[in-house]
Amino acid sequence: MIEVNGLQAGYGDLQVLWNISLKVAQGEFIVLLGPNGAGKTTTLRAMSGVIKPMRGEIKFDGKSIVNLPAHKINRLGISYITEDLNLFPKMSVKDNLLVGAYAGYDRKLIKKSLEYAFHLFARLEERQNQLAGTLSGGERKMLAIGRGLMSNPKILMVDEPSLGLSPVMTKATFEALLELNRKGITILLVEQHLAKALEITNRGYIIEHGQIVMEGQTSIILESERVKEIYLGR
Amino acid sequence: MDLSLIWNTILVGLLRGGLYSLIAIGLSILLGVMSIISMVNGELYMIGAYIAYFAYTALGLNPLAAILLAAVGTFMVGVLIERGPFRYMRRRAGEDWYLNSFLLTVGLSFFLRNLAVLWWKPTYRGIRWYWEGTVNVFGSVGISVDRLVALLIAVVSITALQLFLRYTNTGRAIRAVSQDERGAMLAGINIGNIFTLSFAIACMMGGIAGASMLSITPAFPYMGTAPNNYAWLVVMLAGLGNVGGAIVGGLIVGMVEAISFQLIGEGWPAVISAVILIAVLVVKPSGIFGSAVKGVWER
Repeated sequence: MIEVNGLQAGYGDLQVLWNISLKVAQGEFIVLLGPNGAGKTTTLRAMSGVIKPMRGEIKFDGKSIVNLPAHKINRLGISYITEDLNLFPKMSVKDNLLVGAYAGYDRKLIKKSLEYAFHLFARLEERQNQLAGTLSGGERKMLAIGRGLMSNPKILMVDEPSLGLSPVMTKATFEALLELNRKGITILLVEQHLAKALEITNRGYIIEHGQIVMEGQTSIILESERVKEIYLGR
Repeated sequence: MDLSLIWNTILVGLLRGGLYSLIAIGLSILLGVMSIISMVNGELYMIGAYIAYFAYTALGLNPLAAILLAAVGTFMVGVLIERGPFRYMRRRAGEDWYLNSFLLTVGLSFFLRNLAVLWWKPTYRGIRWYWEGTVNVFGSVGISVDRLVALLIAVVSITALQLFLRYTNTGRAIRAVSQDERGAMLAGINIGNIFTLSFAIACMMGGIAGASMLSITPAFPYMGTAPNNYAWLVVMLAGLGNVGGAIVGGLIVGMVEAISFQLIGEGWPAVISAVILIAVLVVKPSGIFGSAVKGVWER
C-alpha cells in the first residue's frame, strides 16, 4: 500500500534521514522502532507531506505522493496522528472530530464516523462539548486518534501514542489500535517502547541514525541479540 | 437630561459600535488566522463606500443592492490582495512574516489611498439619504431610517459571520487553522484557500461598514484612517485574535464615544477611549477577553 524508497529528508541544512526504505501492505500492523533522534518522526512527516523530502520516492497504491501537499495526502486516505497531537484547543471535542471529516461530503457517513469514534472512546462522547484544551493527556490522545479516524482513512500512522500515558491507558490505546486493524485499517506505529509494541504488531523496522538497520517479523526482532542489547532495559 | 437625548445617544453609540465591530472583527480574523497585523482595512472601508456611491448614483441601483455590490467588490479586492502580494511574500518571509506583513499592509494602505485620490479626486462623495425620513422608536425618539438600517446591517452581518464560523464546515476550518495550522492541514484542510477566504471576509466586513454608512459619512479617499485606528483600539481592548470579544469591544467603544461626546463635547471621545485602553492594558495586558499574552516569537 505504501512504499518508501531511498528516502532522504531533513530540516533545512540538517539532514536527518539518509536512506529510508520500507513497505506497508494493506491490512498490516507495522511498527517503526528506534531510539530518540533516529528519525522516526521525520519519516512520518515526510510520508504525510508535512515536510518535503530531499530525495527518494514515496508511493501510495502505486502512485507517487512525494510532491503532494499534506492536505491532499490526507484526502487520499492517509491519516497521521502526530506526537504533539495538534488538536484545536479552543474548539469542542465534537468540533475537533468534525474537522477531521472536513474533506468528506457524505453527511450520513460522517455521522456514522462520529458514532464510531464515540463507541471506540466512550470518554469522548461524555465530554463532547468540552473544549479540547481542557482534556486530560489520555483523553487528548483519544481525541487525536478519533479525529484521525473521521476521514475514514485506509492507513493510520501513529507517532508514539504511549508517550506520557499510564500503563493502563497505554494498554487501552493499543487495544483500540488493534481493534481498528482488525476492522481493516492498516497501521504504521512509531514507538520507543519495544515490548508493548512488538506484542501487537506483525512486522517491524528498526531505524537508527536515519537508516533502516533491521526489518522482519516481530518474533524475529524480539529474539535478535543486538536488539536485546540496545533496547531492553531502556 | 431628557429621555430622547439619552435614547439618541444610545442609538448613536450602537451605530458607531456596530461600525467599529465590523472592522474590528476583520482585524481579529486576520490576526488570529494569518498572524497579520493589518493596517489596510480602513481602506477597504473606503473602497466599500465608493463602490456603494457609484452603484447608487451612477448605476442607479437600489440601496441594498449597492451595499451588496460593495460587499462583493471588497471581497474580491481581498482575494486579489491575498493571492497577489501576500501569498508571494509569505513564501519568502519565513520568520520575518509578522513585521513584513504589517509593513505590507501599511504600504497597501498608502497605495490604495492615493489610487483613490487619483481615480476619484479628493472630494467628498456623499448622498443625502438611501431611504428618506425618520422612524419613531420608543415613542418620541426619531432616528433616521438610514441609521437604523445601517445598524441592522451591522447586526445581521456580524450574526451571520458568527453563525458561519460556529456551525459550518468551512467556518470550523477557519477556526481550526487559527488554532493549529499543522493539525488543520493534516485533517485535509487547504490552508492556502482558508487564508484567502479569511482575508477576503475581513475585507468584506470593512466594505459593508463603509457602504452602509455612506449617507452618514460621505466617501473620500482618507476616510479609512480614523476607523482603522479606532478598530485597532477595539481589538487591543478586547483581546487580540478574539472575534467574539471584538464585537463586545466595538459596542463598548462606540457607547463610550457617544456618551463622552454628549457629556464633554467634541475632541474628547478619542481621548477617553485611549485612556480606558491604557487603564485596561495596565491591569490586564491581554485585553478584557484575551487569554494569556504570548510573545510574537513564541507562537
